[in-house]
Amino acid sequence: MDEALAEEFKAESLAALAQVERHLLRLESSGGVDAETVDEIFRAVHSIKGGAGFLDLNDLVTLAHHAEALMDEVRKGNLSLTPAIADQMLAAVDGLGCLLEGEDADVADLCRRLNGQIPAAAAPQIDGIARPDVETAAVEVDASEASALDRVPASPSVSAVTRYCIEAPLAQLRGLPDCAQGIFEGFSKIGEVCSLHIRPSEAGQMVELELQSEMPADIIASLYELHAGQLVPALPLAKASAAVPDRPQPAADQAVVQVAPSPPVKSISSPPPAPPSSQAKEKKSSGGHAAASEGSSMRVSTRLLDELLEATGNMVMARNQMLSRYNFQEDISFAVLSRCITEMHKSVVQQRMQHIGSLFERFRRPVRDLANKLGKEVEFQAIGADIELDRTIIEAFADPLNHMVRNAVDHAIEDPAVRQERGKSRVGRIMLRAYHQSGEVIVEIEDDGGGIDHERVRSKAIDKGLISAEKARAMSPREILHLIFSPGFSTKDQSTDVSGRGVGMDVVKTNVERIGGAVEVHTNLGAGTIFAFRLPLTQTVVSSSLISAIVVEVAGQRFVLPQTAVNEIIQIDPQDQRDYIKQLDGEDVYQLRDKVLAIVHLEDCLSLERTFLHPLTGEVKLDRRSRIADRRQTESHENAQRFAHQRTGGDRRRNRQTLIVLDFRRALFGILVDAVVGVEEVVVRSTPKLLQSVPGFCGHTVLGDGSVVMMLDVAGIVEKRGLRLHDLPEHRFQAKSALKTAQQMITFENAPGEFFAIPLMMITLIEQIAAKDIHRIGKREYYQLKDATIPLLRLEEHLEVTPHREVEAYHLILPARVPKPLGILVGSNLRIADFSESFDAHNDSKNGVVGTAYYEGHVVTLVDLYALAERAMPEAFAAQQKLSGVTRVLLAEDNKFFAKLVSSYLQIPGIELEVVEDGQQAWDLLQRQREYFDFIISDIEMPRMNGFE
Amino acid sequence: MNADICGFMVNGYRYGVPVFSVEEIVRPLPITPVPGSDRRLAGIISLRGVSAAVIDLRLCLADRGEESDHSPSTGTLNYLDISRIMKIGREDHGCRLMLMEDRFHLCQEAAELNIQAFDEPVALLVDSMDRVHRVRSTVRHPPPANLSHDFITAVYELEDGFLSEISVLNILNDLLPAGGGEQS
Repeated sequence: MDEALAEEFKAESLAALAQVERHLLRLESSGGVDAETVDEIFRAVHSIKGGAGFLDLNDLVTLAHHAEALMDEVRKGNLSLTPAIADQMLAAVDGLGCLLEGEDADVADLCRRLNGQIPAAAAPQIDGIARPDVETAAVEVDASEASALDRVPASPSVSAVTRYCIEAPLAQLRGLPDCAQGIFEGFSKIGEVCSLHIRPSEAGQMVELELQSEMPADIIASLYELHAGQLVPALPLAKASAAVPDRPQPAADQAVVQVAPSPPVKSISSPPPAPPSSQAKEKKSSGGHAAASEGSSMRVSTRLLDELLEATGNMVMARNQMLSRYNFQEDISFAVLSRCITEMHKSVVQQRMQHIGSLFERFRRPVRDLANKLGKEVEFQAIGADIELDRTIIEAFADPLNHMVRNAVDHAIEDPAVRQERGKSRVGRIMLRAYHQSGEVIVEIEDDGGGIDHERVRSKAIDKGLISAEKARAMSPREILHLIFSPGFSTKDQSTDVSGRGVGMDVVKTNVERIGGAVEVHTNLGAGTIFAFRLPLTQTVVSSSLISAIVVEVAGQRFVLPQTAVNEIIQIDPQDQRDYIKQLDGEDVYQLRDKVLAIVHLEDCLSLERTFLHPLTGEVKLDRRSRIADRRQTESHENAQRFAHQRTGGDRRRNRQTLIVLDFRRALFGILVDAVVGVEEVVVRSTPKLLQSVPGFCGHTVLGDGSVVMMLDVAGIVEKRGLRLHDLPEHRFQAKSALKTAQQMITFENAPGEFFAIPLMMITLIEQIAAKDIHRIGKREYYQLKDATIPLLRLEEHLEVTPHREVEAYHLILPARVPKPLGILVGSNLRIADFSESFDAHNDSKNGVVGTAYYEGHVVTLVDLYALAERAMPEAFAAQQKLSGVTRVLLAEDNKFFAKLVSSYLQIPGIELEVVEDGQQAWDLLQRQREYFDFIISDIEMPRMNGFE
Repeated sequence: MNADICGFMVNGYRYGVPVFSVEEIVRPLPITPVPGSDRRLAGIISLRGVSAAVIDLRLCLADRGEESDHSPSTGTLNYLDISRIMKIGREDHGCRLMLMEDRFHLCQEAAELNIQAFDEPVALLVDSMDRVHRVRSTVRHPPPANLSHDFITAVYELEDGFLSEISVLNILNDLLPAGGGEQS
């Protein structure tokens, strides 16, 4: 058998089956029978049957035939698509799928069940099987199409039909064109052709034909001038076969159309006899593609695509190298070429992308089946199906998601009775939702089931010995929730065959993390659970993808890092090193704002020697220190401690160093490199096999200057250094829609339980300072920051809030755009938080408060920095205001929160403020009072008329 | 039957590989070392859009005393190795790189001889090139028993001395971590 052909048939049929499944489910859920959809199901099954016959796959043919017959009844309106019928059809679809995959399926049983749905008289027989010779057939005359289709309706009168076997030379058959098609059509006029076989013999082409007809034998004989013996009445077709339709039919019972190579081979162009088979034939002649009806798509092997991708990747690299070497600015043809290459690469990469909808749709069926099995009622919804993800990621995500969906049906959604008791609708809801957020795709699976009971999780984890009781007490609710991802955890008391074996959730987590994703849980006891998966758009390591990379240098060697992994780049002056790089337990750490980051020395990680530039000679010398904090020693840590007192001043040896803060699965750590050389668009190539086992790299690339550099693999570094990264506690998923007005705020706790927020964009510096460094002069406090002495103010001095308790360390916040430097002393627990619009604005902003918001279970007060600053230094502000007379400002801002915020800043004497809600209003106002306003402050994104218009 | 053997010098000895497995012989290119790899791998090169790992034959075929230092499993590279490798291709003008063909691009002759080459091109770093020797099978001898590694598959007796035929495949198998060879 032609393997390629079989492969193609398999791929096509599986796709068609998926389609059938979708249609069936849709029909079932919509309740009604949509003729077009039924037709499509029928056609899909039909073409599978045809193809299977072509490839001699008898089981497939049998099963497809029965499924087809059943659908035919539905199509004709003899039957309606009841759940029972849908069940049987779905079972048949599964059976067909199994057979296609080369697995076994109980064809006999499936057929019997399909038949059970059809009124007895209409039950089909298996007789029509097209089997043109694969090697020689160019013409396909599908006898089975006609026979199968025509037979089903022709029920009652069939008893009078006689069956004839005709064997005659082709030349002798009068009045018929000498091709299989012609003969077939000719005989179809008088009866039903069961099989047609043309074979070469000494006497020319011999036609073997089986015909079923109501006509007497002599009339047929005279019609075609058949000699006696050439027309033999065969046994009447066994009607009994309908009762046992799954019995394998003898070969003679199959319609065979075979055209030997010699006669003029014509393609089918004559008008086909019957409308249903015409449709089928059109399909056949277009190559039998079931998918052909689905628009202009074609199937391409992924290997070919990958090769194409690699070739285009090389083109991009070569182009980049040329760009760095020559000046092509004047050369239009090169510009065109360059643009084409970019476009081409983009579209090739695009081919890798897949709609996540295809993944979502896969679950519609399991959810339904599972729900039926468990006696639950579940409604399945999918949102965001058009979000695109890299194919490899979708594939890798399929299993984890499958597990989660099954879990949701099995564990989360309650039985209908329980749901009713709890005042919910009987029908549970499972929703898959995909959307973009900050360069990643979030896929959420939400259910409105029972939610996860923290207490049960906790006690279960203790029972199972996953954690100790003391430890469990100390854990935060979030940590408790994440215990469900520990290996060997399952809360369902009885395990079912569906889920609950205690394996899975940990596998889900590992699998998702393997593709660079993360998972988060939000649950509300009694109301439901959301599992949110954060997936990268593409895997950075995907070969031949074009990514933006940061080129770093360490120990004289260059490496690239994918820019997506880089969170921040910090230059560290030798002078500052001591202040920021500290040692903890023998390891270097860096203090970044409120976080302590692990530092990985890239040289050590890659077993390279550390080097430094000698400050006097400029030579590159080996650095023998074991740690940065250790300035003298090559020896043990104890020794380093002994010499610690000698460390004064900055590091004289090392040049500026650069700390690259990497974001790995939402946790941060830093790698220390000698320098950042630049940022380049690079094409990732996979590492040659000989070097693939080397840890820490995920590929290599060729830079614009033609040099080959290795690409660092963040996950590899983490693994190699054995870093145990913990999720940042402040991280949280922005569940549901990310509001466009989300704003980053610094939140902090002044007195315990009292939270405040300041917009991040209004802050120039946040620093932790020691209490002893605060100098007091009278009642005022000052802090020496580099060259400037800045006055400090405390919230409690100007707001009616509980004073901050005396501690050893404070955080200092320097507001931006104040007339004179000023520091605000704030308390602990600094975090960056995304705030949405839901801010309750207070009308009176004079008191230094813009409003309050509810965030993560706390009431957070939004501090008006400028009101505070004004109170602290009235003279500075007053001086500024004197400069201007009365200024009239028009503020156009649709967002109430921002309008409030901005107006609060402008509410100083000398400014008259007019606030309008959109561009149109602003425009109208301007038309009326053209000369009135001195300034216009406008939001760009606004309803009706935007800022530009 | 005659065979064409492409000869080259490594560590002062003459070795050779079947000429049809050689894609091209190039002057040394800058080799990018890959920290952490087996030290017999000099690094990675890119030649006209084709990337290849470079095998330093001088380290592979080093005498036994030195060979005992090779430990492909640990794969750590010390300072001396780095400096040495980084010099390759910049200063050692005597050496040559041979790009070995991958299986896909092997010529018809090689395919007929059923040469199982490699899944991707590899480059060999040698001291200098010799020439192509046409050798008769009558002068082909099995390798002497006292050779410590199985990289040498045959020894040819030529007019001006011996030539050892090496099997790049055996070297590759030795370099690939266990199980790595079965991928793809």
